[in-house]
Amino acid sequence: MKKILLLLVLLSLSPLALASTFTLNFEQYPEFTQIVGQYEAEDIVFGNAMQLVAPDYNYFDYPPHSGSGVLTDDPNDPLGFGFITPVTDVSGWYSDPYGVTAIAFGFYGNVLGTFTGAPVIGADSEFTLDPEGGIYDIVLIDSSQTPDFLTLDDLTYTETPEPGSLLLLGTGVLGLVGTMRRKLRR
Amino acid sequence: MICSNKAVARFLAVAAFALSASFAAQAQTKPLLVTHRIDDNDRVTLSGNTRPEANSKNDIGLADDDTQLDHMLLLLQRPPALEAQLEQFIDNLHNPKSASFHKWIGAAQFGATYGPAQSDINAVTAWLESQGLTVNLVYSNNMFIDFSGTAGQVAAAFHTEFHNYQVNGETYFANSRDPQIPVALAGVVKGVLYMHNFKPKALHQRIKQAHIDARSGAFQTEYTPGNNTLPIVPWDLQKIYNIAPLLSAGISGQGMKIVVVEDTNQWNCNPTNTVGPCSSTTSDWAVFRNILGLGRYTAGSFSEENPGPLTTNTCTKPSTGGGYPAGSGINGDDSEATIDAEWATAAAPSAAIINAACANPRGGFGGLTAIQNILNHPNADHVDVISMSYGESEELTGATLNAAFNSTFQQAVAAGIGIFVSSGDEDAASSDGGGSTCAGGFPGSGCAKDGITISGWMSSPYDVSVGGLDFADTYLGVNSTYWNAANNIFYGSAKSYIMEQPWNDSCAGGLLSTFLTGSPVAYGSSGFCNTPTGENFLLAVGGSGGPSACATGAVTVRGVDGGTCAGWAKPTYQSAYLGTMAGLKNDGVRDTPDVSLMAANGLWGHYYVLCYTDTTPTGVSSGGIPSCTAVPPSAWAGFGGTSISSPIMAAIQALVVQHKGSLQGNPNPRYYALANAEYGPNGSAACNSANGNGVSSSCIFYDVTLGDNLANCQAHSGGTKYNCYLPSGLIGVLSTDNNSFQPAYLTGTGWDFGSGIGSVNAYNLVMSY
Repeated sequence: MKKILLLLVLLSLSPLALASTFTLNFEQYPEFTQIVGQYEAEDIVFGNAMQLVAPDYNYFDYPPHSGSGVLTDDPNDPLGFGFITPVTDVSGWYSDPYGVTAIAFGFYGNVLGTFTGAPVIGADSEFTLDPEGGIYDIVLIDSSQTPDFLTLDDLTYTETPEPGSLLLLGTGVLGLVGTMRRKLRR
Repeated sequence: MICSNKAVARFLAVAAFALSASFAAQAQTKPLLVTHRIDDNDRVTLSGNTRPEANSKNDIGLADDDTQLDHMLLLLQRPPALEAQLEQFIDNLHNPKSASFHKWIGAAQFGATYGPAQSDINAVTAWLESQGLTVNLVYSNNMFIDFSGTAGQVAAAFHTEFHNYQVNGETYFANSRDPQIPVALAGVVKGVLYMHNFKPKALHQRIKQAHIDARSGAFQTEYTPGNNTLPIVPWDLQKIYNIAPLLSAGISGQGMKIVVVEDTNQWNCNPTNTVGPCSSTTSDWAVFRNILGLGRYTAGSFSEENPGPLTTNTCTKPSTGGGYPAGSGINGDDSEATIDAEWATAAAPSAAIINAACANPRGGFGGLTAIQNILNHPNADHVDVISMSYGESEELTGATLNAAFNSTFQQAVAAGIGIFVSSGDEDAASSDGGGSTCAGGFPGSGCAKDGITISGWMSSPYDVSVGGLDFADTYLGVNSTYWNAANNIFYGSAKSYIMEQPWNDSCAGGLLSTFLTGSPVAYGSSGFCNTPTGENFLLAVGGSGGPSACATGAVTVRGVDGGTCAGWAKPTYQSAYLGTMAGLKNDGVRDTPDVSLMAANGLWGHYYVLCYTDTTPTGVSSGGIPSCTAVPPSAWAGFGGTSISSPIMAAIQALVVQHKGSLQGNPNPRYYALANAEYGPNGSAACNSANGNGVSSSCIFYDVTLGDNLANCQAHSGGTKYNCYLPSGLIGVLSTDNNSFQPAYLTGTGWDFGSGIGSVNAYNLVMSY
């Protein structure tokens, strides 16, 4: 019986153990590649995203945060990305002479949080989004709403457990509590 | 069904016979031009074929008789009635109501139908050979014969002499008097090319030092790279002239071939200095494309060709000169070649750009040989459009070379190929080539002294003459309305179409004068050109335009319209709209330019950037910089000139051809028809360029109504004034009348000499063509 209970506890905690943190440095693809599903292994897909590689773009005004690769909002603004597994604690580095607004959306398209970033050119600045609830989508809007004035680098996010996993976790905890209560009654 | 080889052979033989019989039948109807026995002692002079510089003042003695003259060209002429038939045929090719509409013909059919009779050609080649000359090739068009010989042989054949001449510190080689031919050949021989080595002018200008600061509006005597200038990058070009929606729609030049005609190979194109694809990813062309956002159009390509016809190679690698690597085929015109290649790809980034260059024959422009070889290649080498950025005035070019370009362009448009040529960078004073030094103590200045002249390389009715404009936002003080404060990832910052004015660096320009003095009056002792500030702008530099005046005949004064000169007749596409399209001149001659695009070199802060890393032979002062990746484009080489607007317009036309799916020939008939519909007799207020970002979104052309291409002038040596209004002071302004100010020229409603039809909305042009 004890073995079964231990297994139940381990199973219920496994989503926490599997939660991953990813950092995309955008160094993997050739310049001018449209980035869409190339990072599916990292549970993320992109829209209006194009790979740039310094020095083959205006890296003086839009320097990479690391390495030589960045993403830009092309062919249209805004640059967007969706997560296959909900995430939390999202951050990245942007350059934009007009400033950016980053909006995080939940499962139902509901706005979970917003970040407003000041204009930055010739350097980069960090944006962070860590609202309550798992983030499913983020759009990064250039304040001029014109493509080609924004770059993004070193995007970091942490996956959160899915609802099913949370249910499993809850069941496990409840089972553990029940077992403990039975032991106490004895 | 089984089809035996024998049957196929029989069919092909019959077909070939039918074709040749058809050509022969056409040829048989031609009147013969050589009708008498050739008597070498009975000669006629081919007038207008001596360079004005070939005079006793410059003469430093006879040239060596043993000097080899390779690939000279004898230009033939067709009977007048056949010439008229050809002109009508070309009109029909461009008339949608004609049964011949767009039924283009290749070189062989062109030669058989519109060349002189074969017996006439045989008579000419036999005569050349009888003079000891070697006939290398009779081109398929039957209009040009390539021949070679020594200077002594050529001089004896044409009853002239070759001398060396010292002009402005340079030594030239030229015939001392007009060539002569036997009278019996006079009907079929138009002239001889090239009997001199005076080179044409590459039509670009480096950044102008004295300028108006684009942000502050202050006058500055020196240019500082990146300091408050508004350099144009491809992203800006695509935004301003509305090319971007075409690229987004997938019309970016895929499958199109754009030839830029040069007399040099490219700098830094191919490390092995061999002709072919520009394989180096670190080449200037590739770096330009990648840094400025064109690299995403992966179908785009660039190659060098030294094109030759299939039989005899009349094209050799361009001559190396001025300290360039031996055997590289690179010479001092490589900046021009770079400009053409980089800015053609800026407008049609998926097109194949071809640098077509041949060695300059001993005296001459190898680019003409390159065009000839392309056109006379079977299928014209599948070229869609050709751009040429060289020029010289009709008066200096001479009747034979003027005719040679006209004949070449006739053949091109008959084959469906569009020809684009720079209108010139000398305002309406092409003979002065930017201006002869102004008398009265103005070192480094330039004044128009030869009167109103235009380039003979673009005045043919069979090419699109592309003029030069500038943006008027600095003059109007509205920079921030039209340019973002920051550059984007491809260094672009333009917000929209920007109002335009003719590109004009001269103090005579009314806008510059008004901006700095409050008055547009530049002539007279108190006029702007006669002030200390005005002295900084003593230049006859700006977008050229004017009437054809000396395409044929000969001048009596070097570079000056007169003598027996006459212009090309007004083409149908201009004469047809007299009275229905505002601005067209009822002057009986071909008027230029046809269309114009931005071509400024920094006077108001606008110029084109160029990735050009040639610092040979005189270091960075030659225009290049060592690296395009280490510094932003604002620190790259900067240029202006109609040599940039021409390849851009050719590339836009390539987008037209791509969208239409077939060759379009001479674009002018369609351009003028569209402009006539848009402007009408009173012009179009909605399409007036002065509206700037308020211009109607449906405009195909933008009518430039602000500014002028007036040049400052002085009297010719000897004191005679030619088209110069100079009431007092040392400097006057170009005028059609010496005694009253009749400006040459202002912009106005509809067509004008300052801008032609105007500039374009590329998307609307392509969709409406």
